[in-house]
Amino acid sequence: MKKKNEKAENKNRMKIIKISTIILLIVLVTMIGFFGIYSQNRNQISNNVKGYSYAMDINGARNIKLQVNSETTQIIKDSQGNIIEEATDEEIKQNGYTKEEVPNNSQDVKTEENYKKSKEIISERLKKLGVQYYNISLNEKTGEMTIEIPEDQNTDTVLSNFAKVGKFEIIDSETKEVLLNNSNIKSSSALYNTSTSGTTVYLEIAFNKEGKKKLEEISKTYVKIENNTTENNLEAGNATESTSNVVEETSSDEVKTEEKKVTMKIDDEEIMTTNFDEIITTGKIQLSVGTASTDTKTIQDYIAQAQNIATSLDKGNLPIKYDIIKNQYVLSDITEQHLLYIALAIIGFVIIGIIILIIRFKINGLLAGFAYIGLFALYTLLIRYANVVISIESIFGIITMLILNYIFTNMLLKNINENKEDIVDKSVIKTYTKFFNRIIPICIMVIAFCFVKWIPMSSFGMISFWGLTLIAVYNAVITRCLLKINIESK
Amino acid sequence: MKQKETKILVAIIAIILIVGTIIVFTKGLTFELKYQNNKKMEIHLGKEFEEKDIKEITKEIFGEQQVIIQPIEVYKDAISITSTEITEEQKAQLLTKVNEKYGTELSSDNITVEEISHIRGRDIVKPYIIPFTVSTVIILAYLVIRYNKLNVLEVLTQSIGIIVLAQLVLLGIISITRMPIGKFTIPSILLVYMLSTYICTTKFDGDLEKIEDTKEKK
Repeated sequence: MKKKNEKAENKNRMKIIKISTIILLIVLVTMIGFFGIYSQNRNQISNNVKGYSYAMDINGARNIKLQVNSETTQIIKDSQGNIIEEATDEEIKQNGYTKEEVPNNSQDVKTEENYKKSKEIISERLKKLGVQYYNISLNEKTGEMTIEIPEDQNTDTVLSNFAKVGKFEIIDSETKEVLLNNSNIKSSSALYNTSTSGTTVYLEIAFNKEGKKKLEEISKTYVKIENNTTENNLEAGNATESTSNVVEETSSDEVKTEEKKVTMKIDDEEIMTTNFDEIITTGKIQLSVGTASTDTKTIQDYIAQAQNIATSLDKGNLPIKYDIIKNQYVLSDITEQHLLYIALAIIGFVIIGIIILIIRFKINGLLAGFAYIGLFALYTLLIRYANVVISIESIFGIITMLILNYIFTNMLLKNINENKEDIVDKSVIKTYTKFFNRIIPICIMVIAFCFVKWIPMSSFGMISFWGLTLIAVYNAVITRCLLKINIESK
Repeated sequence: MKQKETKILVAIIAIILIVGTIIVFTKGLTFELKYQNNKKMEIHLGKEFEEKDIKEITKEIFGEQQVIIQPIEVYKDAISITSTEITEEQKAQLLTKVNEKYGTELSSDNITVEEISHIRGRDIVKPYIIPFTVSTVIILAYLVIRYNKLNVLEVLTQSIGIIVLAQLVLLGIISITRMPIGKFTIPSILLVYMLSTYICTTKFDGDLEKIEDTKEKK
C-alpha cells in the first residue's frame, strides 16, 4: 500500500516536473517573442532578435508628384516647314530659317483620355519594374499624378526612368525618315551574356510582325558590306562603331559610294548611329549597355539601366511628357503606437479566450491556454525569421490564424472531454483530421495568395501559410504533450 | 436550444442587413481621406517635432475634420498635413500656432496647399479580383467534389450564399458603425472570406453526419 502511494507520488512529481519544464519553455519563448533578447554592444543596449519588415502602408512610402510638362522647345524650320536638326545663327540667317517655340505638350494632347492612358502606362511600367505595391491618384482635369511606391534599395533606380515618355525611333541618319517606332515594338527586355572578358548586358528589342518585316528591309538597305580596296578603286567604308554601308553607283569607270546609317533615338536622345553587319530576320535587335565587366555592382547597374529602358519601351510611350516635381519619403500615418494598440487589443482577446477555455475545460483549458500563448509568441518569431513582410492585410492574417488555432484548441479539448478514457493521441488524430479537412478551402486560398505579385495579398498569404504550418506542427508537439502528461499520468 | 440560437443569429443578421442598407441609402458610406479628394500642406520646421503636439494643434484648428499627420523624410523635421479642406484662414492659424510652439518664423506665403486627387476604388480592388476569383472557383469546385453525397446544386448555392452573406454582414457592420472605407476594409474582407469558407465546410460536415446517422438508424 505504501509502495503504491510512493509510486503515485513519484508519478505525480514527475508529471509536475514535466509540465513545469514545458511551461517554462513556453514562458522563455514568450519572453523572446514579445520582448526580445537584449545585450550591450558598445555602450548601447540592442535587441538581438530580428526586427519585423514592414510594407509601405506601415513603413511609409516614397511620394512622387508628376506634373504635365509646360515647357516649350525651340525648333528650327526651313522655308518649306521642314524641321532642321541643328543650325547656327549664321546658317539660320543665310538660309532664311525660322525659330519657333513649340510646347512639349500641345493643347491637343492634354486630354482626360491621355491622362488616363498615361496613368495606365505608368502603372504597367511599375509592375514590370517589380514594384509590387503602389498607389496612383490622378487629377483628371490637370493630369497631375501622385504616386506612392515602397522605399527600398530599388526605389531610385525605378524612379530614374519610369516617367519618361519612352519614345523610340530608328531613323535614317541623313534624311531623318522614321523607319521604326514604338508601334513596331512587341517587347523589350534586359539580357546578359558572360564571356572571358566579363559579363555584357544587352537591351533586346523584339519587333512585331510589321516591325520584323521593316527591320529586315532596313537591315538589307543599311547592311555593312565588306569592300576594302576593289578593282574599281572603291573607297572603303570607314569602320567605326558604325561601319558604313556602301551603296554602289556604277558609272563607266568610277564607283561613287554613299554611306547609309540609321540613328536610334530614345526620347529624342541619340543612342547610337550604326548600320547592320548582316540581314536581321529574327525581328530582334540587341544593344549592348555599357562594357563587359566582372564587377557585380557594375553589372547590376547595367542590368537595372537596361531594364529601365526596356520597361519604357515595352509598355508603350506616354502620350504626355511629365516632370517629377516632388520626390520625398513620407512616413505612414500608422505609428508604432498604433501598432502597439493593435497588439494589446489582440492580446486582450487572447486572454479572454483563454479564460473561457479555463472555465469550460478547467486544468486542460489552462494548459491549452499556455500552449496557445506559446504558439502566438513562436508565430511572431517565425514571421520575422521567415522574412514575411508585415502589412495591414498580414496583421489580419495573424488574427485569422489565432482564431483558427482557438477553434482547433477548443475542438481538441472538446474531443478529449468526450473521450472518457485516457486517449489523448486518439483525440489529437481525430481533431487533426476534422480540423484540417475543414480548412482545406482556406489552404487553397492561402497557397493562391502566396503567389500573387501584390505585397498586401502575398504577405497575407505568406503569414497565413506559416500560421497554418505552425498550428499543425506546434499543436502536435507542445499542446499534445502538455495534455497527454496531464491526462494520462492521472 | 440550438434552434433558438439559430433564430437569434438569423434575427441579428437580418437586423444588421436592414439597418446597414437603410444607412447606406440614407447617409452613404464614409471614406478615409486617401480615398476622397483632399488638400495637403507641408511644413518644413527645420527641427524635430512631436507628433502629439501637431495633433493637438490640428485638433484645435480643424475640429471634427479628418486629418492625417505624416512626418516627411527620416529626420522628422518636416511634416505633411492632409485634410478634406484647408482654408487660407486655417493655414494661417496653423502656422501661427506652430511658430508659437517651435519658435519658428514660418510664413503663410511660403507654404502652398496642394490639391490631391483621391485613389479610385477600382484601382484598390483591381489587384485582388483575379486571385479572389481564381481561389473562389477552385474552392467551390473542391466543395462540390468533396460533398458530392449532398445535393451538388445545393452545395454550390449554399456556399456562394454563405460567402456573399458574410460579406454583406461585414458591409452592414461597416455602415452601421460608420467605419470609413479605407485601409482596413480589404483586410477585413479577407478575414471574413476565410472564415466564411470554414463555416461552409462545418455546415456541410454536419449535413453529411446527419445523412450518415439516418442511414445507420435505418
